[in-house]
This record gives sequence, structure tokens and C-alpha cells, in this order.
Amino acid sequence: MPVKFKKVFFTYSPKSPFEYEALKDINLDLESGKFIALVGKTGSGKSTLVQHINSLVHPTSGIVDIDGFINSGVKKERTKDIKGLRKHVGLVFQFPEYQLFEETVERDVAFGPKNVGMKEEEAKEKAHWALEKVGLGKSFFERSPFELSGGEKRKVAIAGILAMEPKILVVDEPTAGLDPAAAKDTMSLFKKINEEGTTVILVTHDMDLVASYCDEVVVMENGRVEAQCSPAQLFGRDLSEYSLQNPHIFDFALRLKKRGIVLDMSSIRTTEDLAKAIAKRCKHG
Amino acid sequence: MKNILEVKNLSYTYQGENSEALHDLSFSVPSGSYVAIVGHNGSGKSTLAKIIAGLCSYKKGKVTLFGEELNKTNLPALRKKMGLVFQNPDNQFVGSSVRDDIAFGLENRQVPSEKMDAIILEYATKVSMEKYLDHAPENLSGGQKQRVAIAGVLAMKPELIIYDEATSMLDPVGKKDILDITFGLREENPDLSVISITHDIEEAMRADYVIVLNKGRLVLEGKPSEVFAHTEDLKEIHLDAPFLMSLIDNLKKEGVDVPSDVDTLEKLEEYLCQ
Ligand SMILES: Nc1ncnc2c1ncn2[C@@H]1O[C@H](COP(=O)(O)OP(=O)(O)OP(=O)(O)O)[C@@H](O)[C@H]1O
Ligand SMILES: Nc1ncnc2c1ncn2[C@@H]1O[C@H](COP(=O)(O)OP(=O)(O)OP(=O)(O)O)[C@@H](O)[C@H]1O
Ligand SMILES: [Mg+2]
Ligand SMILES: [Mg+2]
Repeated sequence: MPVKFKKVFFTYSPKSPFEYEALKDINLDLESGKFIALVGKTGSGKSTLVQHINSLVHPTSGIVDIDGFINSGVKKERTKDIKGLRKHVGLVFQFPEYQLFEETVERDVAFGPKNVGMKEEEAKEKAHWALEKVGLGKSFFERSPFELSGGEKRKVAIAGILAMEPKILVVDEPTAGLDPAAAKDTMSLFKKINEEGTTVILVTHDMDLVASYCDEVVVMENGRVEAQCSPAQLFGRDLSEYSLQNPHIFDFALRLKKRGIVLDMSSIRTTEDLAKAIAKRCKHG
Repeated sequence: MKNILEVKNLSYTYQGENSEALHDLSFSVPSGSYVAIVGHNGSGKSTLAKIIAGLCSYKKGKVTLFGEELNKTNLPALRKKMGLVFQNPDNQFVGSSVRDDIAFGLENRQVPSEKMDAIILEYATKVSMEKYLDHAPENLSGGQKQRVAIAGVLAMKPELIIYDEATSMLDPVGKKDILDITFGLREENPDLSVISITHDIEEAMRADYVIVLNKGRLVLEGKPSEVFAHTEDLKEIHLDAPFLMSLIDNLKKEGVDVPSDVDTLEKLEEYLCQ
């Protein structure tokens, strides 16, 4: 089942001087099991949109159908089972600090599973499993989540959501603040979870990640969805109309194309793939 | 050339912790230079930034700023000459509107109130946030918050700017804008020095000098082209090579013998198309 946005509008601070329409007539099908990127320039409405998927904010009008859980502008239509929805959809915030609150890292990560009914011991085990996945070993368990480095905080926030094993994982700029190795490990981890059946929705400004990991990309601009297609369909042309930049590999392929070396980009996702394709062309002329 | 910052044998341990966050660090920043600091998560970058900005007091080593050794008496005066943009912009905001927030820093520097409005508008416009002057900082998008935090610091015309991952949530165009603005300010004031902590290798490539931290220690320093040529060493300490170096590496693995003088994408394109 997909996540469906039907005619969704959203206005911040309605009827105040700061009234701002952040989402305008969003109609969107996000298919189950896919790895979907949501991109667009600063302020285009990405974070606002994803917060609708776990009912953190409600549409001003319109409906979001999340595998049968309804988030609507009309209160009566909204699902009463918020706990069920939050177990189903895990959202990692753009700023990890908003998500951390317990005294120790271990308790912070175990909070989610416990909150949806898991027993203490089991929740702890889940927490250990998730912390290990994000690369935080035992030495972090008893530390305060507030006395960590920026990247370490982000890892704790990601672990907290992984521990819930959601069916839909929504991550808002998860690699901001991660070092290159951690960013790569985190994305590989999401890919693996995705291959095991979880839908992953990734908000990002990093087009290299979109090219390497995603099946589909949704482009937002000024509160509207401007495009929904595969990365290979989007990239490799002038993207300045969306204030986007091509991934490095497409950018370089574009330079070569202008000089008459045309590569089939549909199967090229990484720098390694690109090098292989170039080498093949060079050898065979 | 005189140094705007000198750090000598600096070590630091957080209270209650048993391992050092920084160990025996020594380096200097010449006046007018743009220095990038890179390193894995938890390598000590923000700790170092907080010490330089006088937000953490250190016991071991010596930090000299603008030619004076940092101490309790001169800290307020030295602090006025530098601006730190925090890793999380929410930790930076004090005003209830974008305007107040930028004004707060200016007031602190005794900027006369009749000049203030023009300065606020000038810097908000630089970062394209002039339409949001009356908005509350907490009601902005992530990237907008970062832009405002940067405007607030730049408006104070510091002689030393410290960016702690200040553009991590900006779109690529926005990132480039901030970098261009910073380089532009440096043209206006050749003495302006910048320390930029970043995970963005492409940004670090534009710096004059790069310092690499690993587990609280300085392990590598030099010009970007020198430092980032150590692709294998960088991988070992959780860092990455810029796209150019990584593409060349991969091409070599595939048997394409890229000459060693190819050090830009243009030259690589030229070589491959010949
Ligand atoms: N709490 C709020 N109150 C009023 N306006 C808001 C609020 N949060 C966001 N906005 C506005 O809504 C618009 C969309 O914000 P949103 O956070 O969804 O953008 P975004 O695409 O996630 O941007 P970024 O890439 O910078 O994180 C922005 O113009 C922002 O100023
Ligand atoms: N307030 C604190 N109390 C105790 N330890 C801390 C505190 N802040 C950071 N640390 C620890 O000090 C070390 C260095 O942290 P620092 O924040 O300087 O890292 P960083 O290089 O900025 O990392 P990141 O890239 O993740 O932001 C880390 O091991 C971190 O866990
Ligand atoms: Mg956002
Ligand atoms: Mg940091």
C-alpha cells in the first residue's frame, strides 16, 4: 500500500500576520517498498511534508492516507490510533536535538520500543542492536545524549527510530553532520533495511546520495511537487530551474557528453561505475 | 605574516570524562587565511572551536588570539573580534525575531542604533532572508535558520569567523552562496580570517590550508591538494577524497593511466577526450 497525499494544503500560523502556505495542492503516491528521495531548495516544504506522514502536523485541508491510517484536515476523520501510526512510521528529525530527552543514550534509544509495549529487557536489547548498527559501542550506553558531539547525537536519534523497526522510515537530512564514512554506513544500512521490505523516504540536499541509493526522486519547489521520476530521468540536464545541482557523476558525464563521449547513465550510480564505463569507452574507442 | 591564532600543546578533557577530547594540539592560523578543519565525528572539532571562542576553559597548553594569550581578563575584548556560528543554529538564537536576533549582536558591539537597521537589512539580504526579518527564528526551515545564524555573525564584522558546520543543511546553491559571500568579505578586508569546520570535502578544497583531526590529535595538515592526495590514509580515519581524486583513483584501478599533473576536472576531461 502506498502513502497517498490527496489535495493536501498546509498553512502555518493561519489568520496571523505570519500566515504562510507551506504546502500547495500536494497529490503524491509514495509506493511501498521503494527508496524515495525528497529534494528541493531551502524552504521548499520538505520537512513540512514529511511531518504529515506521521501525523505530527495535520493538513489544513486534504487527506494523507498512510497504509490505512488517515491524517486529515478534518479532526473526525483522523486516525485515533496515533501509537499504531508512530510504530508504523518512524521519523528522524532534521535536528536530532528535538528527539533526545532521556538521561542516558541507552534509555533514549529504548524509549520508543518500550513506549509501544515492548518489555524492558527486550527494549534494551533492541536499543543495543540499533546502537551497534549506527556505530555507537558500549562505551556510549551510559553517557548523556546531551554531552555528545553533533554527529554522535544524530547517530543516537537514528538508532532511536531504527529500534522501533518501522514499516516506513522517514529520515530528514540524516547525513548532515555525519562524517563521510558514517554517512556511507548509514545510507548502506538504510538500503539494507529497504531491501528487507521497509519503505525509506529520504529528505536530502546531497544529490550524490540520490543517484547512488534511490529508486525515485520527488522534487519540491515553493510548496509544490514539481517532478516525480527516477534519478536517471531527472539528472544529466540543467537543473537550475529547481535550484538543484547534478550529482558529481552526472555532472562529469555531462562534460564528456559535450565533447562527444556519450555514456549510458541508466546503470551508473557511483564513481566506481562511472570509472568503469569511461575505461571501457577509452579501451574500445 | 602575523598569526591571528596560535594553538600550542593544547589538551582538553571534559569534566567527568576519563579520556581526552583534544590531545597535544599545535597549529597556527595566519592572518587573512581560510583554514578548513576536518575529522571524523567526535574527533574534537567543536571542542576546539569552543575553546578558541572562549566558551570552554582549558588547563593544558596555550591559545594566543590576535597576539594575546587568552585569559579571563582579555576574553570579553577578544570575543568581540570573533564570531562563532554554532553547529546547531538553535543554540545561537537569542532574539524573538530575526531582526532582534541580528540586532542583539550589534548592540553587544555598541553599534549606534541609528546605523543598526541598515546593517541588519544589508546582512539579511546577503543571505536572502530579508523577507523574514519579523519571523521568529524557531519558525524557520532548517536551512533558513542556518542562513540567519550566519547573517547574525557576519553583521558583527568579526576579524575571525569560526564556522562549525554552518552550512550543513543548505542546498548546494545556498552553500556556494555562503562560501562566495565569505570570500567576498575577505576581499573587502584582507585581514579577515576564517576557520571552517566541515564534512564537505569539496568546500575544504577551496580553503588555503587544511587541518585533519583524528581522535583529538592533529594527524595531517597542509594545502588541500596535498592533504587530499592521501586518499587511503583519509579513508582509514573515516574521511573521503574529493570527487576528482576518487574518480582518478577508480580510473587508475580500471587501467586508465591518468598523468599526475591532472589536478582539476577540466584537465581530466581534456585528458580523456584527447
Ligand atoms: N513553525 C513554522 N511557522 C511558520 N512558518 C514555518 C514554520 N516552519 C516552517 N515554516 C516555513 O514554511 C516553509 C517550508 O519550511 P520547511 O521546513 O518545510 O522547508 P524545507 O524544505 O524542509 O527546508 P530546509 O531544506 O531548509 O530544511 C519555509 O518558508 C518556512 O519559513
Ligand atoms: N559536553 C560534553 N561532555 C562530555 N563529552 C563531550 C561533550 N561534548 C563532546 N564530548 C565528547 O568529546 C569528543 C569530541 O567532541 P566534539 O563535539 O568536539 O566532536 P566533533 O569533532 O565536533 O564531532 P562532530 O563531527 O560529530 O560534530 C567526543 O568524543 C564527544 O563525545
Ligand atoms: Mg527541512
Ligand atoms: Mg562538532
